[in-house]
Amino acid sequence: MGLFLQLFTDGVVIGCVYALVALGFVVILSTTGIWHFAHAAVYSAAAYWVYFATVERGMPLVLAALLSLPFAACLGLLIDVVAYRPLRRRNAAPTTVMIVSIAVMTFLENGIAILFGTDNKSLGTVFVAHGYSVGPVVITTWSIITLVATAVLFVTLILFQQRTEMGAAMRAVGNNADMARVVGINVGRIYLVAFALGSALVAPAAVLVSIHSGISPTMGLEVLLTAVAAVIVGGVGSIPGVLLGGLLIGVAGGVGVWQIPSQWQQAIAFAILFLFIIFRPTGFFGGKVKSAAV
Amino acid sequence: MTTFILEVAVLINIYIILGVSFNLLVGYAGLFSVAHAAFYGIGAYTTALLMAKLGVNFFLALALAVVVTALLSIPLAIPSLRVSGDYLVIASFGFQLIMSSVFNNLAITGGAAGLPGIPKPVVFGYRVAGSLPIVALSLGMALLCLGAAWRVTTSPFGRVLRAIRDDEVAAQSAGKNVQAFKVITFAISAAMAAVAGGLYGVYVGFISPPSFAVMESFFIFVLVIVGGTGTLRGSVIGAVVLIALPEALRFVRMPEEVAFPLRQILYAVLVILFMIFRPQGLLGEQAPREEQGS
Amino acid sequence: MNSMARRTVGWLALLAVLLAGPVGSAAAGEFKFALILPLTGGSAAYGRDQTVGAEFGVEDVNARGGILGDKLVMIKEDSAADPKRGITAFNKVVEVDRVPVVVSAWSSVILALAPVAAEKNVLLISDGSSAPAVVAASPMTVSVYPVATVDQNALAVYAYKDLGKRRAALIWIGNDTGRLPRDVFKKRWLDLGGKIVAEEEHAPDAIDFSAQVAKIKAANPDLLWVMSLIKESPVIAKQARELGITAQIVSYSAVENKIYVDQAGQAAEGTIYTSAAPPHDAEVEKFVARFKAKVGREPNGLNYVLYLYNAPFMVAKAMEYLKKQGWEYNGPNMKKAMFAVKDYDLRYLGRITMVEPGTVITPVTIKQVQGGKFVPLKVMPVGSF
Repeated sequence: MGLFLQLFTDGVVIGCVYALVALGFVVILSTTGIWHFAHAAVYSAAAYWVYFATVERGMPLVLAALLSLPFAACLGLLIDVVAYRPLRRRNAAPTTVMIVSIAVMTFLENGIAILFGTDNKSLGTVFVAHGYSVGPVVITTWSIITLVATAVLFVTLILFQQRTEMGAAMRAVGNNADMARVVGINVGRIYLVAFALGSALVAPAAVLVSIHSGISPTMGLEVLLTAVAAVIVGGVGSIPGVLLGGLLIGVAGGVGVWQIPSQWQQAIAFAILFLFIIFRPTGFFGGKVKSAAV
Repeated sequence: MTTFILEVAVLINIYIILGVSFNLLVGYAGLFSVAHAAFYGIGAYTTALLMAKLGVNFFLALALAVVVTALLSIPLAIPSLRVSGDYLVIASFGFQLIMSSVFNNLAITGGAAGLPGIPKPVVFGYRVAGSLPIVALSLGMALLCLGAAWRVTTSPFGRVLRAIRDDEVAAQSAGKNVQAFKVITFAISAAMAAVAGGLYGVYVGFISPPSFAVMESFFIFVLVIVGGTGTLRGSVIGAVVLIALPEALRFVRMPEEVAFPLRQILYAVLVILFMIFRPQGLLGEQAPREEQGS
Repeated sequence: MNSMARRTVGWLALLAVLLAGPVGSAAAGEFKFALILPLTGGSAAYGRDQTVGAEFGVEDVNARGGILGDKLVMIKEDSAADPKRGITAFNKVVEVDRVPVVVSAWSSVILALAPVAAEKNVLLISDGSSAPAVVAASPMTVSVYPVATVDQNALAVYAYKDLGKRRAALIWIGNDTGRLPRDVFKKRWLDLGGKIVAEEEHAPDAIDFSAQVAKIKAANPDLLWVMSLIKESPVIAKQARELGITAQIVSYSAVENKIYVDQAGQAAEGTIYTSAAPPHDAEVEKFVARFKAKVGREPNGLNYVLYLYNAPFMVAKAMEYLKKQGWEYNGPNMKKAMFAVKDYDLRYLGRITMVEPGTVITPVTIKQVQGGKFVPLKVMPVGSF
C-alpha cells in the first residue's frame, strides 16, 4: 500500500507538470484555434534562457526565472506575427497551420542546438536533495513547489478568464471570431494577448523541469505531446479539464507501472489519448469538437 | 562508383513508394497524418520476422505484411471518420508513438537493439544480392506502386476522393459513403508503406526502431510537401531530391559543426515557406484547398 | 513547374556523370582506410569528436614514420548513426575510394554493415559499440572496443566480492545502451549468487523516474545499478536519495562527467562505476589540451575519443605486419594480421588483447565519485573477472 501511495503521489506531481505545460497551450488553442506545437520549442527556449542567464552569465536563479516569463511571451508573439499571421491572411486550413507550427518547432529546436550544442546541460544543484516523510510517502521540496505553482497558476487563470474583461473577450474570440469582431473586439489584439499569456505560462514548467532534470534542445516535444494528450482527455478548451487530464495521465503513468512493466509507461499515456480520440473526442469537459477555421 | 549510385537508387525507390503512398492520403484524400513511418515499420518488421524466423519466401512475407499493415491502419482511420483534421494529426502522433514503443519493447522485434540477419530475397530460385538485382527489384516495386497509385487517382474512386477532400458534406449528400472511402484510402496507403518497409528490411539486412520513428514520419511529410501534394510526379521528384542531395553532399565538404542543425532548419523553412506561399508544392497544379472543420 | 522538374533531373544526371568519372585507386606508398561515424544527426556531437580523435591518431602515426615509410591515409564519411546512410557511406568508400578496411561505430550501423562487409571482403572494425552482438557479426567484422561483457562482468564481480552486496535493483534506459549491459550484468550477478530484487526500465525521453524509483525503494536493495545516459543518471541518483534509498549506486563511464556531479549534487557522492580506460593521468590531460586547442572545448565522451585515437595505431600495426610478410593489402589479410599482432600497447589505454572470434579484452578500472572528483579505486586485470 505504501508503494501504491508513493506511486500515486509521484503521478500527481508529474501530472501537474503536464498540466502546467498544457495550460499555456490550451489558452492559445481555445482563443485562436491554433494547435501551437511550437509551444514545445518555447518551453525549451525558456529553459535555455534560464541556463544562459544563470550558468553562463551568473544571474541569480530567481531573477532569471522571473525574466523567463517575458522572454517566453515575446517568443510566442514573434511566432504568431512571423508564422501564423501570414497564414491567417491567406485563410489557410487549420491543418496547414498545425504543420507550420511543427516546422517552427523544428526550426527553433535546431536554432537552440546551433547556439548551445545538442548535448545536455545542467543548471547545477539548485537546492539540496531533501525528502520529507508524510506517513508512508516521501515528498520532496521540488514536488511541493510544483504542486503550489500549479494550484496558484490554475486558480489565477480561471479567475482571469471568468472575472476580467480581457478573459471574457478571449472567450468570445475563441467561440466565434467573426461575431467578436462584429461586437467591436479587436481580434488581432486578442490573438496577441493569447500568445503572450499562453507562452509566458509555459515558463514556470520549463524552469521547474530544468531544475529537476537538466535541459536539452529537444526536451519539449515529448512533454508537449503528453500535455496535448492531457488537453484532449480533459476536453479541449476547458481549463479545469486540462488539470484533470494532466493528473489522469500522470497518475495512470505512475500507478500503471505498479502492475505493468515500466518500459510501457510512455505508451500508457498515448494509449489513453488514442482511446479518448476514438471513443470520446470531446474529453471529460469538452462541449463540442472545435476545429477553428481561422 | 556505379555501385554507389545504384545503391542510392534503391533508397530513392523506397522513398518514392513512401512518398507516393503518403501523397494518396494527404494530397488526394486530404487526411493529414504523422504516422506513415509507423506503417513503414510494421511492414518492415512483419516481412523481416516472417523471413528470418519462419523462413517464409520474400513475396509471400511481403504480401502478408501488406495485409497486416492494412488491417492495422483501421484503428487510425477510425478517428478520421469522427473528428476533424487536426484531431487526426494528434491521433496519428499517438499512434506513431505507441508503435515506436511496440517496436522498442516487444521481445520478438529485438527491441531497441534491432533485428539483424534479415535474409536476402529469393526470386524464382535466384538470390537477390548485390546491387543490380536489388535495384531492379526495388524499381519494379516502385513502378508497381506508382502504377497502382495512378490507377487509384485516375479512377472514379480517385475522383470521389478528391470530391471528399474538397467538400466532404457535398460528397456525402451526393450519396457517397465517405467513411468507407477514407478507410480504404488509409488501407491502400498503409499497404504501400508496408511494401517500402519490406524492401528496406531486405536491402539493409537489419532494422531497428529509429528508422521508423516520428522523425522519419516528418521526413516523409517534408518530401511530399516539397514535391507537391496531390501530384504523384511531385512525390517522385521529392524523393529523388531529398535522398540524392545528402548523398551528393558526400562529395562536397562543408563545415560539419553546423551541417545537421542547418539541414533541419532548411527543411523547416522549406515547409513554412511552401505552406505560406506555395501550398501545392513544386509540381502541384491545383490551388490550395480550404478545409472546413466538421 | 515542369521546367523545374526537368532542371532537377538534368542537374542530377549531370551530377551522376561527374561522380562516375575518375575513381580513387591506391597511390603507391600509401595505405588507405576509411572511418565512418555520425558527422550529422543527433549523435554527431560524439561522432565528430571521435573523428577528431582518429585524425590525431593518423597525424601521429605519420609523424612517427607511417607504415614503415608509407603514408597512412584516412577517408572520413558520415553515417548519421543511421543504418541506411551507413550503407551508402560504406559503398562510397569501398567502391569509390577502394579501401579494404573500414572503422566504424554505433551498433545499429555495425550490424547493418557487417553482412555487406563479408560480401565485399572488406574488414569492418567496430570501435565504440559495447553491444555484444557486434562481436563476429559477420566473418569480416572485429571489435576493438571492449563490449559490455567486459566491464559489466567486472562490475558484478567487484560489487559481489569487494563490496559484499547481495540484493541488486536494476534501472536502465529502454534502448541498447541500457538493455545489453543489463543482460550481461544480470546473468553474471545471478551466477555469482546475488539476488535481483527490482528491474525497472525507463523511456529514453523520460524526465521523471519517481515511479521506477518508488518501486525500487519498496524492494529494499543494497545495490542500485544504473545504466542510463548522462541526461537521466543524475536525476535517478537524486530521486533515489530523496526517496531515502541508501543502496550503493553503481554505474558505468557515462557518469564520469561534470554534469553528473552538478546535477545530482550530494546524491552523486560515492557512486562507483567502471571505466574501460585506465586512470586518467597527465598524458590524458595533454590529449584533452590538444583537443581543446583544435576544437575549442573539451571532447564529448573522452573515453570513446581515446579509443578512436588509437584505431589508426591498431590498423597501422596490422599493416606493418602485413607489409613485412609481403601480403597483399586486402580485407582478409588485414583480419589475419590483426590477430597475428594480438597484443596492442596503446597510449592512454594500456594493453588490449585481440581474442577469438574477433573482440578485445582489457583491464577494467573501478572508480568512484569522491568530493565531486573521479577517483580510481582498483584496476581489475584481465582474467580476474
